[in-house]
Amino acid sequence: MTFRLGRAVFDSDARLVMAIVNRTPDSFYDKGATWDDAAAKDRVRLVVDQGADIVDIGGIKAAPGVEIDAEEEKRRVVDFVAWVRGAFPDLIISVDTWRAEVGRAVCEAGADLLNDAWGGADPELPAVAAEFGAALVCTHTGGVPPRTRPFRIEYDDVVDDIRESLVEQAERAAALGVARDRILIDPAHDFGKNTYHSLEATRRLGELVATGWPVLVSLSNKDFVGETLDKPVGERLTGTLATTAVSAWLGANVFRAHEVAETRQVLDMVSSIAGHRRPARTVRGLQ
Amino acid sequence: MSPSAEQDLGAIRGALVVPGLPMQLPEYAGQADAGGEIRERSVAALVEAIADWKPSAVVVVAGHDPLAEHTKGSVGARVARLLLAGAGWEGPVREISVPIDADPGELDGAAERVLEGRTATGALVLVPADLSAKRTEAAPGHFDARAAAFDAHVLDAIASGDAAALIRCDLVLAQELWATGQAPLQVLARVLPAPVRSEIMWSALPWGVQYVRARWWGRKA
Repeated sequence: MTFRLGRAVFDSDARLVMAIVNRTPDSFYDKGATWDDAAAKDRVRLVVDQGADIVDIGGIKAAPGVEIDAEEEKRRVVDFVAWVRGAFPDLIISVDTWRAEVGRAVCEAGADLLNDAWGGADPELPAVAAEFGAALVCTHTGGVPPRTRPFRIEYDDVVDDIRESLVEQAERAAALGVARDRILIDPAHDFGKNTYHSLEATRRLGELVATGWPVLVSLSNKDFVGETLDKPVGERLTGTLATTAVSAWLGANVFRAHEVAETRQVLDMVSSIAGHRRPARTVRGLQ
Repeated sequence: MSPSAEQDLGAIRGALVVPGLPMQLPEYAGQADAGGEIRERSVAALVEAIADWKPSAVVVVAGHDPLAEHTKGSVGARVARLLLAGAGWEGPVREISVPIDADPGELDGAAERVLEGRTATGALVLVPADLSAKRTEAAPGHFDARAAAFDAHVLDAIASGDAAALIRCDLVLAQELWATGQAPLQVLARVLPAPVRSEIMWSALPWGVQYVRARWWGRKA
């Protein structure tokens, strides 16, 4: 199985870093660090240097907060996408949005991938991806509306629910014209899930990989890591990287991350352990 | 530099000593080919030696570890095959394997097997062989104060084409210093016993292991 993002084609053993670039003043982790245009551009330059394969540009934080309408969301991301497209012609540009209207605008500006982080909340979004030949990430949210925290959600079997929802969304997207090799699935840790759900989704990630759709995981500094290790935001990197390594080993292909250099190292290490990547330099015992 | 008939060493045209480290083998290379430069320079030296001596055959003398329980064959022999392929050699090749802890009797036996293969028009003897592996704290065998003098003696013997000096090397000390190339070098000294012309083309110890690339050819005037 291969998959395509932008002009690039990837094998099933690819392990790609998707660097988070927030165009928000209030995201949970960076607290507006790249709200300013210049800072956001510096962030893109940095993550490219650090080995990011994809940038994921988002104009609305995932958590509840001040309502951001489509016009404001576009003001935050569209021109920025155009700048990235011009400055980094080969970089894969993803935009984190659930709105078809925003998706259309960013695709016109050069986006390669629409990261539908709220699980098909806007049913028109796949058609936009299809129209522009863009890729699409389908996510599992357990049915909660955008920017809603999980509350007392239970599943008979969380992984069954994730798999059924994601396969259904992926097939629907394909039916609407999105190229089958441009569709990814994301179990969406923390979204519509308590910590036990996210841990089980990680433990049984292989069942999602077995669907044949390439799997994206978004783990970076999330609450399930924090609750598992009893660590606040800012102290979750080790747990994030451990989860990254396990997910990589189980077959995930794309890793959405704040800390790009560290994630890149973990993925390279896993790839070499798996026999998919040669070590950088080998001398020990061979002199 | 083509040898005249009187320079012919019992139908051995000459010998090329090359580093034998496994890092040269492609299966051990990382994304950076750390052993690539050493390998390519040895290939170039081999190409030059073949052009100069026009051998009809190549005899490889390589050491093997009798305690190593695998079926891959000795590293030295595999390095030699790689170099010969790199040099485009398509003529006959004979491989003589000698235990790295060989006693003098085994060395004599190996030398006889080399000479059994003499041809009328002469052979090139290719010897992957390294000196001590205990030159620095970071060396594979850690630092041994005796290693520098040992290597100096061997290098001097090679540089001066002095087979007798090579044969005088302490085989027990060579073992203690992890000088895995000592046995094949001693076989070489036995098949080219007379003083020969010699040239050390390169020597270095980049990882605390003493390497040498050298050639012996023709009798000394």
